[in-house]
Amino acid sequence: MFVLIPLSTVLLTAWTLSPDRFWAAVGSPRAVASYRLSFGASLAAALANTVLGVLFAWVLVRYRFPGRRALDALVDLPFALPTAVSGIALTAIYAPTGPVGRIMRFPIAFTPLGVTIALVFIGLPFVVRAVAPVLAEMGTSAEEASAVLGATRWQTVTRVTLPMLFPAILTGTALAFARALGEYGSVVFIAGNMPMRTEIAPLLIMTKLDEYDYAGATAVASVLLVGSLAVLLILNRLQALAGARAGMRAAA
Amino acid sequence: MTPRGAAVPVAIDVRGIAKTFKGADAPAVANVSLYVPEGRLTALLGPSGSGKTTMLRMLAGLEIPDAGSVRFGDTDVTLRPARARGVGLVFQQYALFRHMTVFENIAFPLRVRHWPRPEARARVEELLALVRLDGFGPRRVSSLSGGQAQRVALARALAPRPSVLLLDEPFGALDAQVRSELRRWLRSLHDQLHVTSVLVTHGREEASDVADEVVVLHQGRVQQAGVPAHVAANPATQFVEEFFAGARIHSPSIPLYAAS
Amino acid sequence: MIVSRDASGAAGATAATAATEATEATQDHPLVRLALLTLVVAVFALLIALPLAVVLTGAFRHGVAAYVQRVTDPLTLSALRLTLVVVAVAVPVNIAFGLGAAWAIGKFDFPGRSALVTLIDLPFAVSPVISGLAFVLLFGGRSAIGPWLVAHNIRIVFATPGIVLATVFVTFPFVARELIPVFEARGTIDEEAAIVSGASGWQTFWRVTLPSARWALLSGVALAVARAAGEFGAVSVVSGHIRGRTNTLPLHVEVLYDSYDSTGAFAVASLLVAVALPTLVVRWAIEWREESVARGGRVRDDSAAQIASAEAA
Repeated sequence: MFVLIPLSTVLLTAWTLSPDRFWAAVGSPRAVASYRLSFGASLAAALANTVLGVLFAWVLVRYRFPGRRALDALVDLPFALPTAVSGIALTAIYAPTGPVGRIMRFPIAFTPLGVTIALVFIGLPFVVRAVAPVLAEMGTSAEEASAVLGATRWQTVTRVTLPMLFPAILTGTALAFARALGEYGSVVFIAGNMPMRTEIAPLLIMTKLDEYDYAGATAVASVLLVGSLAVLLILNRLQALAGARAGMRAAA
Repeated sequence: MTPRGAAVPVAIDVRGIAKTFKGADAPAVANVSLYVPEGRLTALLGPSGSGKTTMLRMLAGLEIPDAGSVRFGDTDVTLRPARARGVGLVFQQYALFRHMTVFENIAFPLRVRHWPRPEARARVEELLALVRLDGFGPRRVSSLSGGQAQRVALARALAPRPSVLLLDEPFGALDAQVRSELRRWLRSLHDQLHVTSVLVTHGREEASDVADEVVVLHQGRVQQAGVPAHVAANPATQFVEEFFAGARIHSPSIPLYAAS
Repeated sequence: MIVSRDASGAAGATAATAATEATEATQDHPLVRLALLTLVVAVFALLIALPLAVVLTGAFRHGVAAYVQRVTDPLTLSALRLTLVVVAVAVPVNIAFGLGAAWAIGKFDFPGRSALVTLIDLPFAVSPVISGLAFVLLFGGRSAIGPWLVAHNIRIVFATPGIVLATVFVTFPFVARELIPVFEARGTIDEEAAIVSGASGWQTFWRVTLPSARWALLSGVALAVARAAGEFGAVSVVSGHIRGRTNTLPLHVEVLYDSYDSTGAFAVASLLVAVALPTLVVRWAIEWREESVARGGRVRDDSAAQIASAEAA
């Protein structure tokens, strides 16, 4: 209940706007640019996180090395760290004066690339935390069977282990994607927030609010909200499908 | 293991094999030697903790022994990885690939050896008929009953025509009736195929029903080896005597199975 | 249902660290292992460790004295106070709700159960800015209730209550999400056993249900605290940025940063890090404990169940 009321308020309010104003706000070039940036960067970051997250989960679960448990705990850092802190830290690193920004030939901060990197940062824990428990619980018996049946290590990993992890990978990636779409604090500093270039959708909403353009803000917000809900729904359906097919309960 | 032709049964010759796991007080397998003639079925019999599963895993190549040697026929395979040993292994918990259909499971060992599709398909159909699961190809693993799953696992293990077949308590996860039916069926299958086989079990009746010879293990050592009825009737150690107490072991003079 | 399970059957629902040892056949080639490990460590250092280092060095760049001065600045202190108030209100509310919801969801089946689960996850998936906006629309001057509130001199938006509400909303799922898997896994056997042996509803809850989930609860609380203290987007919208009155610590960081006081910004940020790090430590400690329990083979917090089942037997 508590959850529904505020969210439906946004949608209802958007509904009450006159269609012209709604579409004007929603379809303005600036808004469209912000959707493209938010969506594109989030997707790119989520995909990068798929690869990185699986790698991290693999190393954390399967290998033994000194400091493993510390690494395991710190993977959660982007998740636990307040977004504003992440934001200023990332900006400091990738700005032209920062440790990484300095040695790179091309600018990172204040570009879509910077936005994407920030989104990779905050999305990583989602994939790792979705995949690692499943990988751990899976154990090695399927891989042993595969080895005895004559498969090379590479064949085993690509034909047996990874396909079995697919539902968890999907869940983690979708979560990272959903989070990235709405992310504000970590991104707003490194983005530079130049309209049409590095303005993410949530920031556009904020700016409109500052200008007292409640209507415009609500309109854009409702688009973003519908998008997020759609992602959530698709995620649930995919989870159910993939989970049923693999014959195991998908991770909650 | 010959890739496509008929499997050549080999004898299994194990000498002085031992294995202690990291952090364990006692060795899992202390000093075991055994011999399985070509085409025969031997049961490794013993309570849990006796080392029989470890023995089997060393035969499969999933564990490397600390000492001793394993030979398949003329070849020393002690240090060979599991992939290159040419054995078939049936796990207690089936270990079927959940994300694949029955067909894909059985075809897996053939696909990883790059068999051309038509030949692989023919072989899978042949195996499905052998395990009496014709038409089950497109089925999902999760839709199978315990007995069916185990038969698929067996078909999968037999697909690449291994020269050695290993079974780790294959019927342990099934209920009693299915177990005894499958037991008999496994024996008749063996008589048909003559693959050298080693079966791990803790059931006395099961061992004697299915195996030509039984090797009794306790705490990582061989207590006694021989024909089941003989071992039951003439226990060599106190452990063997207590282990077989109360069991009804058929003597070999009573034919159980009609000649195939 | 046919399931391929490892014989060890490790119980941990949240433990990402495995007790399964890879055998020869299932270990990656040593070179592969080295390569992957190096890659992961490199990415970790670049992506995760570096930001942390930057915050700490940035805060102390002008020396300890400057750091202390920034941190004890009156504006900082009032931001700190507000943050603490918010946490002190939001987290208990979410604990109460989270416990209740997780208990209902985990132990019972009822129509609309999966809808409720999705609902709980919603604040997670929705942008914090939108959440904040929702509250502004709901309680702001131009909403339906707005005029009524103004008439009664109740200020929600642009004041502390609004910030608290928004924070409660955003941190809603944390406790529940940690608890649901635990409750689901245990089912109702413990409670049934307790009730059969004469315990009242409350007693059952306090002595049986809660203890069985205390680690998950702790984990969820730690996360909720970190998030409540660190929430930026939603609070940004709802608070109106009034310095000294409605700035929480994260907002204060932004203010300092925007005025190019990077030392100040990092100094205050380090305060927030001080909140976040214990969260990680708590969760690390919990997993470490779960791992050693799983390895030791004995589950100590099952005593209630053991007693109950022994009596029921």
